[in-house]
Order: sequence, then structure tokens, then C-alpha cells
Amino acid sequence: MKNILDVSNLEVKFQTRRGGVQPLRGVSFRVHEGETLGIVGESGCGKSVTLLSVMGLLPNDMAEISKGKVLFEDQEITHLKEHERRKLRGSKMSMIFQEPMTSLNPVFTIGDQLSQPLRKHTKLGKKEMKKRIIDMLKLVGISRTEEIIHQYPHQLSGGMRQRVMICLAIICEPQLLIADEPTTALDVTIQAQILDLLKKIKQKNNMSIIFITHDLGVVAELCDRVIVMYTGQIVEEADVRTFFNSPKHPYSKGLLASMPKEDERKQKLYAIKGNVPGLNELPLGCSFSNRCPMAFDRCKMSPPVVKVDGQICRCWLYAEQKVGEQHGE
Amino acid sequence: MPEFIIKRVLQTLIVVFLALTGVFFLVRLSGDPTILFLPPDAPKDQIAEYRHTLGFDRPLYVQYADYIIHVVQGDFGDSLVTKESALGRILSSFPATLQLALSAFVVSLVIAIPIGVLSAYKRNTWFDKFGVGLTVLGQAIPSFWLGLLFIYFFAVKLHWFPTGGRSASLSMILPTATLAIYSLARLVRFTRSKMLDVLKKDYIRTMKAVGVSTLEILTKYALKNALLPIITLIALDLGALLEGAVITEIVFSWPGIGMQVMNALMSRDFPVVMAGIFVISLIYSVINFAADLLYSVVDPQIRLK
Repeated sequence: MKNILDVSNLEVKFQTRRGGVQPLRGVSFRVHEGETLGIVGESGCGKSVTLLSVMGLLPNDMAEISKGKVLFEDQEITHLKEHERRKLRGSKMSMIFQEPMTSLNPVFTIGDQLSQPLRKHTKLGKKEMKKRIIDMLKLVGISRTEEIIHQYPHQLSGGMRQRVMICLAIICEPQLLIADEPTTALDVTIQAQILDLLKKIKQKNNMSIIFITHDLGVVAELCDRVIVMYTGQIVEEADVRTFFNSPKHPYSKGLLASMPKEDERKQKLYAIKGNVPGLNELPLGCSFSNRCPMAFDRCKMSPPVVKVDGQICRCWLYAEQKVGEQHGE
Repeated sequence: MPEFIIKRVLQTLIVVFLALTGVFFLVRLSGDPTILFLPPDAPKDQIAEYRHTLGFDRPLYVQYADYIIHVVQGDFGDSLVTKESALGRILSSFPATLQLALSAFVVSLVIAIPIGVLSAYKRNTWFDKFGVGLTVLGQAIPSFWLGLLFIYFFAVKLHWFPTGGRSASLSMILPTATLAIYSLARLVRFTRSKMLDVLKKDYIRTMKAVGVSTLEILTKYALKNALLPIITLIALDLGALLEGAVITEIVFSWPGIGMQVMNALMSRDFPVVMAGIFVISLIYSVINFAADLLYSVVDPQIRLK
């Protein structure tokens, strides 16, 4: 299958007042055409930074891509000039954000905001633009379209606003849609509707989706493949079935174990002990070793990336099996 | 909406009334005007008689009640010095003040907003630091001193502009500059900080994510959001400019309300002082009212409530 996105060995550095930190420490992954890739992990593990760097939306006064490549449709894009990046954003790749309530500008109408990507990336006339906006609003399940385009964001509910955000992201029919926890701020019924909508649009346009979430239920529902991130590194990569049936990395196992199951009535939910360490206080060697129930002395050294049964895993536990090959670095 | 307007009109009346009351008693602390209008060696009975004619021999509360009753009827009394209508004197000098305040207002607006936007965008670069430094300086320099410096360099040394008055066409440049600098400094800082707030918002990132250019975000998207709070400040500033005009007018002998009130104060010409306070407080309230109306035009969330 053709790769739409190929990220290799990506490193990002942040300059802060208290010195530099490295939120991404060599991240490599691919997204195939028409595929949905899920990225999971606790808060602060680098999911958003990864995708903001793909979009070219890192705050450029403090963040910098210090190493690695991002190939979009076989074109290296990290070195592109800002105006060239801009041509890709909103047309070929676009992004939906976590907060529908604050992601639309309160003092411009929905119609005005939806027309922006069309004005930037197409040569449609006014009437055609309006027709396109109305068609797309219908596609995302909004019925009173003529009314909505003259309304302001505060007149819409959260679910409606997220539909508008999705509409904004797909209005130019991008090849790649990046969704950064688009359903986290919505209630459960709306969540299900939005997920269905994304599935429908994906099938219709043969679009690839990268879906950031910490809801493993959403991953099972929507994704073909999963990447697990921890402290700026990918610790496991697997297709979705394998991931749920036999997770390899102890962190993935912990994440899955902390999911509530319907057939069990436990007193207490399982939780991985401890917290994600700060980027400037990572333990030596494997950065998960201080929370890992299976840690042993070799974990003080940087773990190898090994391939186990088609899964990729960054852990010493599988280094002995000799089935793996070095991946990435 | 009509409810809102009625409420604001009532508020304005209260503000004007309180200003008049406060100033009525304050100016009377400055002493008895009678003796200023008679020769120093005037006999005591003549002073008493003149005081009686002017009504300053009555108890303070009687004078106050009498004054308010007349004001309600639109009568601000006559100047003690020239015997003309006090309000008439103030109103005749109003155009000069308005000219000065408005030109300073326009100058500071036209310069401040682009600089503010640009230094927010170029935050922590030399442009930003230099701009912010200048605005701190602009806010710190008292306008009477700045006015005198301007007169010294540009009028006395270089002979570019007249030292004061309102006769020549060039004579308004220096007072305008003096008056503009203070509000300009404030406006630059305020625009910069509001723009910085707005540029961090999620909806700005959304616009970047669909490929809108930085220039367009700055001039269209972010600016409209930032303008909301700026409008309030601008309106307050126009009021402050009218006040600031008082000192600037004195420094440059600009024949506006400020000069009139100042001269009236020096000669304890109470009716003219009071009429001046009336006009200034009325204008101040009206400007604030206009700002609130304007605010609701720009912000759809307020319009629809």
C-alpha cells in the first residue's frame, strides 16, 4: 500500500526559560493511504507535539525540529518555506482539535470561517463556494444549513461546533486528516455520532486519519493500527487486533489493564503506578523502567527496538528472542 | 435596548450631578472671590455690599441649593469677570479643545494600533523591545514637561513652529504631538497585550491549520477579537485626551476649555469653572456611552443578548 505519510526519526526540542527539553526523541511511523492510525498514551507523552510538527504548527519561537524527516506524499516537508507549508495545510492535510468550544472564532460567522480554506486553496466563485459549504455541512450532518452559515459559534452546541470543525477540516477533501482527541470534550452520545461521521467521510474520500486519543474504546472502534507513545518515543506499534489480543510492551499492557471491562465488577480499577516523569527527569535507560512491574537490571540501559510477531516493541523483555530486527534508529 | 439607553441617561445625569456638587464645594475652598474684584484698599462695608450682591454672604447650603435650581433650568450664571454667560464662554472655546483632542486622538490611533499589532507579532525581537521601551518613556514623561521641551527645541531653537496660540496653521502640531504621545504609549501597550492574548487562542491555531496566512490572521482575524477591549480603552482615552488637553492648552496657550477653566480658577470666576466642569463631565459620559454602543456592534455575543 502507498504511504501517505512517512515520519522517520523525528526529534523536537523546546527552548524554555528553564533550559531545553526534548519532547520527541526519535519518532518513526508511517500512515498508508486510506488507513486510520491511532496514537495512544498518557498526557504529556508527545502525541500532540508529533502531529503539530507534521502540520507545521509548532510554536516557532520556542520549538524546533532538530532531527529527522517528514515525508508527505514522498515529499520532504520539514524544510519547506512557510508559504509552501501553508499550501498543504487545509487542503491536503488538515487537523481537528480537542476543544470545539474554543476552536472557532467568536466574532466571525460560521460561513465566513468555513469559506477560508476554500478561498485559500480553490478558485471557486462566491456562489460555488456557498454551495460547497452547504453541501459539506449537510455531509457532516447539519440540517439547517442556510441558517447556520449566518450564525456565530456561541449559538451552536458543542457537538454542532465539532461538526463545523470537521467540516472545516475536510472541506477541501484532504488526503490526511489529523484528529487530536476530537471527542474528548463531548458527551458520549455525541461522541458516537462524531466517530460514525469520521468513518463515513473516510470511506467516502479514501482519506487517511491519524487519531490521537487516550480512549482505547475509540481505538478499537475506529483504527486499523495503533502506536503507543511514552515520553516522546514510540514504545509499541501493532495492528489493532494484535494490540488488543496480545500487547507486548508492559506500558501497553498497563494501559489495556486500566480499561474498565463490562463483564467484570471489580472494586477498584487498575492504574499504572506513578506518573509520567517530567522530560528533564527521565530515568536512565528505559524511561518506563521506574513504573514498570517487570523491570530488571538491563532496563538501566536504553532498550532495543525489536520486532515480535509483526509488532514493533521497544523493550528488553523481547531482546533475547532474536526474532527481531532493529527498526527505526 | 431602550431600557439600556434610559439606564445610561440616568447614569450620566448622576455622574454630572456628582461632579458639579464636588467641584462646587472644592472651588469654594479656594477663598472668597469678592476681594479679587475690588481694589485692595476698598472699605469693608463696600466689600460686604458687593459680597451681598454676588450672594456669597449666604450660607453655603443656600448657595448650593440656589445654584442647582438654576442649573436644572439651564442657567449656569454669568462670569463674575466679564458678566457674559458662563456656559456661553465655555462653549465658544469648545471647538478649539475638540480640534486638539480629536487630532491627537487620530494621530495616536493611526500610529499605535499598527505598532501594537506588529510588536505582538514580533514579540521579544529588537522591534518589540525598542517599541515597548519608547512607550514606557512616553508614559513616564509628564506632558507639561514634554510640551516645554518641544517648545524649547522646535519653536525657540529651530523656529519650525510657533511657541503657542492657535493663529497659524502650524501652531497645532506641537500641542497635538504632546497630547498624542501619552495616549499613544498606552494604546501601543494595550494593543500589544491584547493581541498577544488573542494570538494564543485556539481559534487562531484553527485558522493557521486551514492555511490562512499570518498577515491575514493579524490584520483580520486576531485584530477584530483584540479590538473589542481596545475600543473601551480608546473611548476612555478620548475622555482622557479632553482632560489632558487642559494642561497642554495651558502650556501652549491654546484657547480651549482648559485655558478658560484655568483662567477662571485663577480669578475665582466660579460660574465659568462650574460650566467648564459641566461640559467636560457631560462629554466624558457621552463618550463612554458611545463606546458601549460601539462594543455591541463589534461583538455579536453582546448584540444578541
